[in-house]
Amino acid sequence: MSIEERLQRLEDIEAINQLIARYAQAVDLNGDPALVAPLFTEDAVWHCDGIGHWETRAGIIRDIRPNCTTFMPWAMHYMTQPVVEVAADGLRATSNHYLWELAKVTPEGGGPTQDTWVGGWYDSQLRKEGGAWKFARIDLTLKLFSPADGRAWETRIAPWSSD
Amino acid sequence: MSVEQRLQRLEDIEAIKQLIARYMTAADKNGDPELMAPCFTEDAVWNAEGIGRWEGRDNIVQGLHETSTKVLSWALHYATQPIIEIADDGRSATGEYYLWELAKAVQEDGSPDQDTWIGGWYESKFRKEGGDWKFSHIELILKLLSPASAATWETPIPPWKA
Repeated sequence: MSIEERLQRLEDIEAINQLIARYAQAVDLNGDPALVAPLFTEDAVWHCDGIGHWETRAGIIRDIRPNCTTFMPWAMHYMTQPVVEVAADGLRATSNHYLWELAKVTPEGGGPTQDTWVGGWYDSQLRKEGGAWKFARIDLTLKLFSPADGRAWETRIAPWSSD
Repeated sequence: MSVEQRLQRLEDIEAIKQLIARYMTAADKNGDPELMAPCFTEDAVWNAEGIGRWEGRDNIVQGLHETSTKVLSWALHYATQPIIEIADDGRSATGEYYLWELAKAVQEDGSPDQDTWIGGWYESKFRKEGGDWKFSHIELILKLLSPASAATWETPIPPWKA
């Protein structure tokens, strides 16, 4: 690779790390549509077993909102240890990064929220459009989803579910 | 330093950050030997006071696999705030970074696994072999090793031991 190409690769990795951080801010600000929209390609997919499956930018904007207001009205998403790989064409990339989250979760059927520890990792596909990196697909794997006041951690999501 | 050397330094730092992340993923997948082996040099050392010490890649891979299945059967390893220094020759490096971990720890008396908060930092050494950065030494210093159900934090490891 030329100096120019190597520099471009580092800039792309930095831009994707910042995109990941902006995603965390957007969901911590209750999935504000104005912040969520620029994060995704028009044909994007968001998927998480136990949470939901949303398709297209418009669909994600619509469905992430109740998730970050009614279901989890309060949350803090910490994103760590990104592994970003930029494709040779410089227009596509993949990333893996971890999630450590505190959230107030509304139980099924309603009622007071329950303070909850959430943990896992994201596997994402990204595309560069008009000079800006965007998520084309996000797969979130949860390994921890447990009440903070529990004496033991429990995660009712396969394959971690013990019941 | 030339532009080439400065660029190489940033590429090396990024590669080592990703190596650290891959190690954590391997650990969280029960110390999967296929993911763990490429992280280490053949003469590597892994040491953590209160946990264990292994010398040589094969022993480390086996030791981490056993620990990540029999002792800590479930874990989440978060790595944060890396400080990475590349040596002038570009062939070796040192790195300090923090660990925030949740783990289900086996109890010696046979009682159910105990959910445990673990925290501390790594002081690691790296070597570049065939273009790839690998761990030549991992030193893990634990400052927190405390049951999640306990009312207070306790760490039964010197020098933090009360």
